[in-house]
Amino acid sequence: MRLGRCLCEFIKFLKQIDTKNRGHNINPTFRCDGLDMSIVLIGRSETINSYGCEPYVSYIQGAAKEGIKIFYILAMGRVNCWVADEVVGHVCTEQIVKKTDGYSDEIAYKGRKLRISCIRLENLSSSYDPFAKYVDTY
Amino acid sequence: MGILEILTQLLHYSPALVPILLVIYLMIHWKRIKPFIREFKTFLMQYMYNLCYIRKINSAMQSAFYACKHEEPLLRAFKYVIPLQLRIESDAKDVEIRLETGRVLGIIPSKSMSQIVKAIDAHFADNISQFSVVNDFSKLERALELVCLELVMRNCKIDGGLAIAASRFINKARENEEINLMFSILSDLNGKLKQTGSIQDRRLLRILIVETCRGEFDAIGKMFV
Repeated sequence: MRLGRCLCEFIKFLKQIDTKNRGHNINPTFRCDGLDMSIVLIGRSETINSYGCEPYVSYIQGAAKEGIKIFYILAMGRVNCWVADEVVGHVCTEQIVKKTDGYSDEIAYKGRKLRISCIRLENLSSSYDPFAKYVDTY
Repeated sequence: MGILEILTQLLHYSPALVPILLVIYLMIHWKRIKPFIREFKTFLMQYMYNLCYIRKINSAMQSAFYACKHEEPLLRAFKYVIPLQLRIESDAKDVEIRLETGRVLGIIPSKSMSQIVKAIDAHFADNISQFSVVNDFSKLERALELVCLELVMRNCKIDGGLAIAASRFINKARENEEINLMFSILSDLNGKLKQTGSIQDRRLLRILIVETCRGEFDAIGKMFV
């Protein structure tokens, strides 16, 4: 298993994000044994109100250059989900990354129904090629 | 005065005669009545046995679903985990799932173990799975259903027959190479999550499931679906 050795680390990383409190900064990047992933949390209203989707776009651009292969954009709430879609539209148009799959749902949170979304993006410069390993053989 | 009239008069003045007359009638025609009585007894016994058996299965399954929902971290991949109630209807041709107010009913033609497993699988596939976090990946969704079916069966400590039927059913589904691989990965994941503590956010659970399986499929050069 590719994640075999890193599975526990990966679970710990995800648990760290799961239990993260508002305002608490954590490293959103996970690198282990070929899995280079970053989770982009869209949630700070002050960032969205002041700068729109620009900080998220520039973060993805920078991280993609540094070799992050997979991005997950997580958002909760109608506005944040809209910003997430904007960010995805922006980075996909610039052909930095491509959207591979996504998940959205509604959850009950403090008596309200909130939309949640989770979008997976893949760095276009590191697309997986299953036949790449055979190229050098010939 | 006819015999019917005499009887009516007699019964009117003395109702206690009814059972006596009935016993006399039964004694006279016992040979003719005996097969009907025996058939009725068998039917009644069978009906009571099925009723008790299905009640036992239903209560065991209810507690298994409840235990899975709270103790098995992988079950969090489903938004709703609704227990299934079974009912035997001998005229039913195949397993059928009916949605009723307040409950989901699984109709099975007989109380065979394979029918019970089939009904639970159909419940996962038709109802629970549409609220899973990975419902956009068909084979992964199927593997997740099978893992959860196995977890429910493991928690449904009823008897060996059910466990054997479930294992036979799952092994047949695992003949598909991709599903088999995903099944192993998901079982491992559930074990690891039990050790480390479950992930509450279902989006993060999706990331964990999808990336772990995708990583494995990439490593062996297979398409992840």
